[in-house]
Amino acid sequence: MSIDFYWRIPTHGCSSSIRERSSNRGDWSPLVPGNQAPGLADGAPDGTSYLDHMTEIARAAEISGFAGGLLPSFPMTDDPWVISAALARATKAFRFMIAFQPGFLDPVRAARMSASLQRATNGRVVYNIITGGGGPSQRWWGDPFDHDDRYGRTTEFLDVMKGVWKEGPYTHKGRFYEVENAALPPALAGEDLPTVYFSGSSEAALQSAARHADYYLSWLEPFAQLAQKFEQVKRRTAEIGRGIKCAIRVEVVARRTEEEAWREIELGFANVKAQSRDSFGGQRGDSVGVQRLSGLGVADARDYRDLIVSPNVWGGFSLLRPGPALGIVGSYENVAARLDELIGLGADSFILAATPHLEEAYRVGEEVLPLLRHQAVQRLEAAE
Amino acid sequence: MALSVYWNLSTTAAPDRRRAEWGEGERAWVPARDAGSRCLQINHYDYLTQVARAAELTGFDGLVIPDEPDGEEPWIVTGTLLRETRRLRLVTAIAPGSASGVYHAKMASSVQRFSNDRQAWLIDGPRGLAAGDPVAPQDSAARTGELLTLAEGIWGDGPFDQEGQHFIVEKGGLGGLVRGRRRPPVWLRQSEQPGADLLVHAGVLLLDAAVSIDALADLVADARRANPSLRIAASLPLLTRADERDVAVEAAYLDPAPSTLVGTYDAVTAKLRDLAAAGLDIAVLSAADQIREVHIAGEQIIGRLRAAAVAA
Repeated sequence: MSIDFYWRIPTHGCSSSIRERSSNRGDWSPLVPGNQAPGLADGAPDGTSYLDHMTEIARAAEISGFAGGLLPSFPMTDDPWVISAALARATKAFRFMIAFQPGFLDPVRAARMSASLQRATNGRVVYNIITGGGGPSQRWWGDPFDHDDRYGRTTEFLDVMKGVWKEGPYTHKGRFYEVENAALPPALAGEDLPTVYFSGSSEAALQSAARHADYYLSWLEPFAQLAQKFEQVKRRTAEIGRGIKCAIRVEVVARRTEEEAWREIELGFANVKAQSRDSFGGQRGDSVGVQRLSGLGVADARDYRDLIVSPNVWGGFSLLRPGPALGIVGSYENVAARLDELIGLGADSFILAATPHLEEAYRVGEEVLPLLRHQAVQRLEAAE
Repeated sequence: MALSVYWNLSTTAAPDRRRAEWGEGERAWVPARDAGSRCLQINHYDYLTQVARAAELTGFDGLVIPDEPDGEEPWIVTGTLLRETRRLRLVTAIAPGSASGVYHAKMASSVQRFSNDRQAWLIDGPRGLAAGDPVAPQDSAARTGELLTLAEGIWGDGPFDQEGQHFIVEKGGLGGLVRGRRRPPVWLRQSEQPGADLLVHAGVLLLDAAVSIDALADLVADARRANPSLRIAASLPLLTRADERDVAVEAAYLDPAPSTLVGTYDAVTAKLRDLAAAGLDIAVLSAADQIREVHIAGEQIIGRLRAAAVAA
């Protein structure tokens, strides 16, 4: 068995340091000292955009041996489909893990877009299917369905998408979708279905994952809790005669020594305004994943050490940037040891991230991954 | 105003279809697919990119990227061309039922940010259940109207609300993603017979069936009553060669459809000038064997139009 390592492409700007919360790479913030300045040609913008920086992150990850990268999708991010198509021609082997919700696209269109993108990339498309955090932001997206409805829809969406792609002409009349003799054109139908990474912690999500996911993807949670969740997912999937792998999405701060690594956290924590600490837990929506991570006491922490959950695991990352709370902090050796531990608890794949994403792709690829004890870590096809 | 010239980037024309495709062994000179190696592989998008670049290098103003049932998906084709072209406008065919209203606009926001505002939308009609589109033809115009109203509404800070039959949004707004960015201008198809309520949303009306010069003048007058700033485009399949004899040889071989613009370089250029005088703003040319025909059209037809404009 081999372990895949993906990197994350930040789709709404990046920061040059984990110590600062603001994004200074990307074109959303005004130009101030420290910001990546727009290129000028004869005094006018030279046509570069944040896409150019994302291209460099993808290339850094590709050079450093990552299999590909997750492209997250939130209201204020750039769109993963557009990024992937644009980067298809700027990268060679980098796989695009496209985050999307079934409510964004109809399944026939999703099949055509995916198959076309497989053709444009020579088969480098991976899905990260998200069923949605719910609440007000679902209606922001134009999606009227509530939590358990959405999981029913995700299952039906994947049934129809796979049916149209691989079993066409395909007919289906369901609760959410209706198609009649739908099929992809021959040139597209021959492409492989993308590998499916599936997120979601609720009962409805686990049911849907058991049916369609190749990888069950979770944020980092306290290790014992995560091991239990993976065990549950694998058991549930085995009950319906399928197999499933498990993946963890986790941010890391890896430095030469423990002291250097924790100094980044100490400074980052010191830069967080008291009001952002207090507003943690105010995250809205009906995501069970968010609920599972609440109650860690982030709002009460007055010292970064209050948020150390277990050796090398820090629970305050959500203060430093939007996203999950837990991440791994430590020396290269200890970060590698924690990843080894997670492999031992059932992880088959990782989506790693570190700020700044471009330079840190090299650091993690060169300093951490080679230290893993696990022998069969799959480096990007070295023979190519 | 000078006539703009676009190319229709087909992904299904027979002579083009197999270029840079992997062979199944039937053509010895085509590389066989090597599943073990993803690097350094060419694919059909290398060819499509080359056609697009040829259009840019030979003076075209833009590409229409159609949604052909047997072809590549137009959002993906558009995405692959963002950094491969510098100047060309990219008119992406949009199937309104294929995504949520918000998601159409969300994808467009990234295209505009990455391309310096070069995208336009060509709105297609209903696609039928074989494409997973259950909307009946009589409901199509209402759906298009909802989509365009929603896209306009969320292209800014919002909050914008819409509770439609086909699309909804609550407290919508793309905010910083679209600040200073142009919303893609909308092209509507004449074959969908858009009414005045839709034409007010549009920047371009595409005449997508054969049209005579006399009929053109009437169509332009009617459309501009609904929307005075509307520009008029026409789909014009092209068959042009250096002299009459070459034209005849080619026409005998290709058997062009009746709507095709057939003639020598000079004759075709003169016909385009007549169309422009009758009110045409944009000619959307098309022909199979695209890498060759783009060069002929660009060098000989656009070359003649531009040279005359420079001389004047």
